[in-house]
Amino acid sequence: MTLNLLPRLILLFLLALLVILLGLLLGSVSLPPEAFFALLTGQGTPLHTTLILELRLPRVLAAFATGGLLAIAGALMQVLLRNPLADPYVLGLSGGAAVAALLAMLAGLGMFWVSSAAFAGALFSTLLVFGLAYGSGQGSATRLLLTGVVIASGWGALISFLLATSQAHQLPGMLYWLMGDLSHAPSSVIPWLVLLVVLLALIPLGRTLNVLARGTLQAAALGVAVQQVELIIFGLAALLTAIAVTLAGSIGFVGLIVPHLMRMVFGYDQRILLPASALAGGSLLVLADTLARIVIAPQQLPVGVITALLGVPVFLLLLYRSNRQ
Amino acid sequence: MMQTENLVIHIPGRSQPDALNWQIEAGQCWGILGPNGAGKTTLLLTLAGLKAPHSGRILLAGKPITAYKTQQRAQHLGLVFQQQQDNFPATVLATALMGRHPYLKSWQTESQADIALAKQALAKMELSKLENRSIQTLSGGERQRLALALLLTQNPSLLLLDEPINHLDLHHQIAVLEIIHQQVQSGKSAIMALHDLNLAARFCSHILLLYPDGQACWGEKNSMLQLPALEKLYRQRLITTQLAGETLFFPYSSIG
Repeated sequence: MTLNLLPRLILLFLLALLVILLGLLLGSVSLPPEAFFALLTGQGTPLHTTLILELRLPRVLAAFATGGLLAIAGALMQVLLRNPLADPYVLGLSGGAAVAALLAMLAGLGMFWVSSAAFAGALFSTLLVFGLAYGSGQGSATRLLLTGVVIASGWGALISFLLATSQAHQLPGMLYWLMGDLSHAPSSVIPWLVLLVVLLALIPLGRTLNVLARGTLQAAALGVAVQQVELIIFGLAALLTAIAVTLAGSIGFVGLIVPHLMRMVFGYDQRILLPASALAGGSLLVLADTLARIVIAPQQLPVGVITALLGVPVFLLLLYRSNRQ
Repeated sequence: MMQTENLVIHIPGRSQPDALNWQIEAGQCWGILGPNGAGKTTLLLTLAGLKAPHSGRILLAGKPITAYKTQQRAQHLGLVFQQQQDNFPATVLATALMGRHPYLKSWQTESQADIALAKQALAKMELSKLENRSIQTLSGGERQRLALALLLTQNPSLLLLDEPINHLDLHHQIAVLEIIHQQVQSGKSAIMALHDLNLAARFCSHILLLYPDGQACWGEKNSMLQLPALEKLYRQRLITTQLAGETLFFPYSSIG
C-alpha cells in the first residue's frame, strides 16, 4: 500500500537536494551552477569555495535541520493531541524559550548563552505543562492542550512585558529572534544527528501512531500501551522543538502546515508521512531562508517572515485542489 | 472464556452495588440491558481491561486480565465503541487493517494475508466498494459497520460490543447481529449492550440486567426477559404480544 507512494517520496528527496543546491548558489552574490560542479571536482576558485563551504553550507544545513525538526514535531503533536490544528509550539514551548532567550539578551550575553537559555526555557516550559496536565493523575489530550494554551498565553504576556521595558537599541535583535532568524544559527552536527536518529526511531512506532490517531481507547483496545507511547511522543516532540528553537528562534507555520501538506500528497500513514514531512519541512525552510537572504540583499530578513509568505499560497492551492477532487 | 470474581465496576456514588460473579462460556452471546447511565459502557470497558474496577477481579482464559500485556490482551478480546474518533483521514481499508495491529511486531508491515483478512471483513460488512474512501466521508451507519469490520479483522475470541446496531438501518441491524451470531456459533463469545428487547431475545442466549442503582441479575434469556423485571429495569410500562410462540415487548404509551 505504501509502496506506490515511494516514487513521490523519491521525487521529494530530489527536490530537497535541488533546493539545497539553490540555497548554496543564491545569495547576495549569486553563483552559476558551474561554480558548484567546479567545487565538487576540486577546481573551484578560493573565493567561491569559502563562500559555499564556510558561509552558505552551514547555514543551509542548519535551515534544513530546523525545518525538518519542526515538521516532525508538528506531525507528532497533531497525533498526540488528536488535533490537526496542533503545532510544535501549541504547548507553550516556544514561549518558554523566548522568555529565557530575551532575558539572556537583556543581560547582554552572547549568542551561545542566548541559545542555551532558549533550550533550557523550552525544556522548562515542557516540564511545567506536562506536570500541570498530568500531575493530578488522570491526564487527557484536552487537558494537556488547555494547559499548554494557557501557559503559552502567560509566556506571551511576559514577552510583551520584556519588549515594552527594554531599551530601544536592544529591540531589533529581540524582534528578529521572536520572528525566527537563522543568521546566528550555530553550525553543529547535533540537529542532524537528532533528526536522523529520531526518524529511525519513529519507523517502528509508525503503525502505533496510526492506531493512536483513532483515539486512546481504540488504541488501547488494539494493544497499544497508550501512556508509554504518549510519553515517548511528547518527549520526542519537545526535544525536537527545543533544538529547533535553539537554532533559529521561533519559526512559526512550518510545524503546522507541512504535515498537512504532506497528508494531502501522501495520505495519512505516519510511516511515510514522517520522513516526507522531514524532507518537505527542511526544503521549505531552506527555500525561505534563501529568499530571506536575497529579497533585500545585502540586508537580510528574518526567515519566519518568508515561511508564512511562501507557505500560505501553497497550502491554500493544495486545499482548493483537494476539495475539488 | 471470561469470569468475574466479586466484580464491582467503578461508578461513584453507588451505595450498595451488587458484586458480579459472572461466568461467560464459549458459544454464549450475552446481552446487557439497562437504562441510560446504568453503567453498560463502564462494565464493557472494565471487562476489556481498559478501566480499573472498584473492586474484584476479571479472569480472561483463567488468567487475571491485569496480568496480560496490552498486545496479548488485544489478541483475545476486541471492543467496538459507541463512537469512533476520526480527526485524520485514513482510508476505509487502512482502518480495517488496524485490526491486525495486535499480531504484528513493531517493525513488521501488514502482509498480503493481513490485507486479505481486512478485505474479507469489509466484504462481510458490505463496505468493499468504499475501500479507498476516507473515513471522514462515511455516514454514521457506515462508520459503525467499519468499526465492526475492524473487529472482525482483529478476530478476537471474546467480542465486546457497545450498542453495535446504533445508527444502522433495519437490514444492516439484522446483518450485523447475524454475523455476531455466526462468530458465537463458531466457538467464540460475545457480550453486547443493547436497547432493543426483541432483538436481544432473538440473538442473545443469555441476558444481564443492570439497574441504575448498581443491582444486577443475570442468567439464561428466558428467565431474565420477564415483564415485571423489565418494567422495573426501564421504569416503563410494557405491553407484550405473542408471535409464532415468541413473546414480543413494546413500550406502552397513553398516546396513539
